[in-house]
Amino acid sequence: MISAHGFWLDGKVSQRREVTIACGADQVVRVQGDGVDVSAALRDLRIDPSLGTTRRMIRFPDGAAAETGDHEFLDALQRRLGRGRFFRAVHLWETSLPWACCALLLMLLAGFGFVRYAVPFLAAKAAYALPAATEELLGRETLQILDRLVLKPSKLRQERRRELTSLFASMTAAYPERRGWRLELRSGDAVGANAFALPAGIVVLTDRLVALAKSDQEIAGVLAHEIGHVRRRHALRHLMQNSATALLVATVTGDIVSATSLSATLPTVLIDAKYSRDFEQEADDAAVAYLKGRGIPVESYAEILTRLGAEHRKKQEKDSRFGELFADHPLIQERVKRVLAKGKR
Amino acid sequence: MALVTLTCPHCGFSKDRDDSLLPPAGTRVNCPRCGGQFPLAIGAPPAPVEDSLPPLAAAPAKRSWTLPFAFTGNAREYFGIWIVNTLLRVVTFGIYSPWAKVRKRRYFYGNTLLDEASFDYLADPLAILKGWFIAGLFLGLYSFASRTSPIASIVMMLVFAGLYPWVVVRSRIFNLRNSCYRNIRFSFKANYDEAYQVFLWWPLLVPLTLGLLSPYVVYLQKRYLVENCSYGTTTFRFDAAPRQYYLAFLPLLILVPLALAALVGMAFLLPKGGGNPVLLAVPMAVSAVVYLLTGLYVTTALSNLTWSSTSLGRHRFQSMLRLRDLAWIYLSNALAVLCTLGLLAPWGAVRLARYRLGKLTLSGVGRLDCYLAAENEAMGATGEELGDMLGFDLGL
Repeated sequence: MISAHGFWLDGKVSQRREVTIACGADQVVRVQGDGVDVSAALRDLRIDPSLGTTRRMIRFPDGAAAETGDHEFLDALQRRLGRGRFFRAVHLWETSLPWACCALLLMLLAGFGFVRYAVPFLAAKAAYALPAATEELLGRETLQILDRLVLKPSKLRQERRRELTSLFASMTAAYPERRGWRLELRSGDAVGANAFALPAGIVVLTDRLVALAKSDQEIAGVLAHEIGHVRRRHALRHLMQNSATALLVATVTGDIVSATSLSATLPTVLIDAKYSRDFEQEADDAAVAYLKGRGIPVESYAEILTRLGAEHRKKQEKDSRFGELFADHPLIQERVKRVLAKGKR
Repeated sequence: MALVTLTCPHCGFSKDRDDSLLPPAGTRVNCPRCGGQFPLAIGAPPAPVEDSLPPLAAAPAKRSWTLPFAFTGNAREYFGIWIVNTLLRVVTFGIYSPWAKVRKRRYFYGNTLLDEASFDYLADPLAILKGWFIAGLFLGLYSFASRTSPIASIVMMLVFAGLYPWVVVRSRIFNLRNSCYRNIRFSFKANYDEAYQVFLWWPLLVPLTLGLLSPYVVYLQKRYLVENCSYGTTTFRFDAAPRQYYLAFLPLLILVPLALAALVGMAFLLPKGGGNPVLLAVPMAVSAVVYLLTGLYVTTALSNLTWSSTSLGRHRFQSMLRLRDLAWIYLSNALAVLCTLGLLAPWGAVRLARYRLGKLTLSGVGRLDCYLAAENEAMGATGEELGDMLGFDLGL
C-alpha cells in the first residue's frame, strides 16, 4: 500500500479538496477525504509525465484529476503501469546538469554535421532533380530583376560582342547538357568588373571586366570559372542551401530571440560565406582544368584574378558600406595562391 | 443524462445543463452572468441564501481580498528542459517539436500559481503535429511561390492577410481550450464575423487616418480577445474605455510627428554632400533609444491597462508592470543571450515570467472554487501552428 497527500479536482467545479491518494496491491487507486471517496482501476488512469519539480495530475476517465507533488508516489504508480518510460528518460536527462551539457555538445555536433554535410548533399540532389523548365524560369526572372535594378545594356562594339559569344560557344561545345546556356553582356557601375553565373546556365559578363582583361586567354579563364559554376549548378544549390540553413537557425532560435534578430542572421551570414568559398574553389578547379587542357598558362587566370581583387578593393574604399563587411574579396589572394599551386602540378 | 435548469437567486439568470456535468448538490457555484455565488440545488429552484461557509485561509468568503500570481520555475531546471528538447527537435528534423512545445509550455503553466493552485497545459502533441504539417505545407508553398514569381507571391500574401483573423481565432481557441486551472478549462467563442472586423477591416482604415485610429483599433482587438474568453461557463468582462487606450498611446502619437519634423529639419540644415558622420550618428543613436523606450512604454501601459480592465465573475485582475524594471530586464536579457550565443535564453525567459506574474494580482469578493465547467470539444491545431510559424504575438 502506497499513498500520498494531494488535492482532488472533480473537473466540474473549480473547488480543490484536500485528499489522500492510495494504491494497494489490487492495483486500485482510492482517493479519500473532504467528502470525496472515489476509486478507479490503475490501468484506466493517465499520469502526467514528470517535468522538473512541477506538481503532476493523475487523470481519471471521467475528467476528474488528483493533483500531487509526491513524485516518488507517482513514479511508483507509473512503474506499476509500465507506461511513461520515454518521458521518464527525458526527465532524467533534463534534470542532470552533466547530461544536459552533453545535450548541448550533441546539439552543436548535430548542427555542424547538418550544415557541413546534410544540407549541401540534399541541396545538390534537389538541384539536379529540379525540372529544366523551372530552372529556366528562375534564371530568366533573376536576370530580369538584375536588369531592372543594377545592370545596363553593354556598350561594347558589335564585333567584339560576337567574338565573346563565339568564344563562349566554343568553350561549351564539349558539354552535352549545354542547352539554354548563354552569355549575357552587360554594364553597370554597381557591379563593377564582374562575372557571375545565374541558374539555367546564364553567364553574365560586364564591360568593365572585358576592358580589364589584357587578352582573350584571360577572359577564357574567367568564363571557364563561370562554366564550372554552371555545370555544378552552384547558383541553385546556393539558393537551396541558404534557405535550408535559415530554416535550421529559425528552428533552433525560434523560441528564444525574436527580439534580437541579429543573433539569428549572423550565423546564416557566416555559413553562407563558407558555402560560397567552397563553390568558388570548385569553380577555380574547373577553370584550371580547362586552361591546362588547352595549354594556356594558368598564370593568365591568376593575373586577372589579382587585378579583379585590386579593382574591388579600390571600389570598396571609394564607397565603403556595411554591406561589404562580409564580402569575400579578401579571399582572392588565397584563391590566387591555390590556382597557381594547382597549375604547377 | 437529463437536463436540469439552474437559476441564479441573485439575478434570476437561468440555464439548462446536463446533470452529468454538474458537481453534487450543495456545492457552491458562480453565476456566469452576475458572478454571485449560490449552493447548487438540483430539482427545486434555490431560495436566495446568505453565505454560511467556514472562512478559507487564503480566500475568505465574504471579505474582499487580493491574491498575487507567482511563478515558481527556476532557470537551472528550465535550462535542462530547454536544451534537451531543442536537441531532440533538431535530431528528429523538427518532428519532435510538438512534444517539445507541450513540455516547455507545461513547465511555464505548471509553475504559474494562483491561490496555491497551478495552471495546466493539456494540448495533445499529436494534434499539434498535424497542425504543424499543414501549416508547414502552407508556408513552404508561400516561400516557393515568392521565389519563383512575384505575382504568385502577391497572391499568396493576400491569401495570408485574408487568413489572419481566422488564424487569430483558431489559435486562441486552441490555446485557451487546452489551458486549465483547477481542472476547469478556459474557452474562446469562435466569433469570426467580429474577428474579421477588428483584425482586418478596421486596421485597413488606420493608414487613411494617418495612424490616429490605431489606439481605437487596438482597443477593439483587446476587447474582442478578452470578451470572448471564458473560464468554465463564466465569461471574462472588459471595461476599459477607448479614451484610456489613446492615453496609453499618447507618447507615440506625439513622438512620431516630432521625429518626422526633426528629420525634415535635419535634411534642410545639413550642408550639401553629407557633413561630419559623427555629428549625424549622435542624433541617430539618441532617437533610436528614445524610440525603443517609447515603444516599451506603450507596450507596458497597454499590458497593464488590458489586464486591469479584465474581470471574471466578481474577481478583477490588476497588472502593475513598471517601465524601468521591464527596460532593465529586456536590456540585460538581450545582452546575456547575445554574449552567450543563446545559452542564457532559458534564464531570460524564466526571469521575465517571474517578473510579469509577480506584478499580476487577482482581487475580489467570494471564493475561487465556485466556477463551473463547460462542455468542451476537441479542436485542430492548424491555426495555432500557422500563427506560431509566422510569429504572431497574441498575448494580452
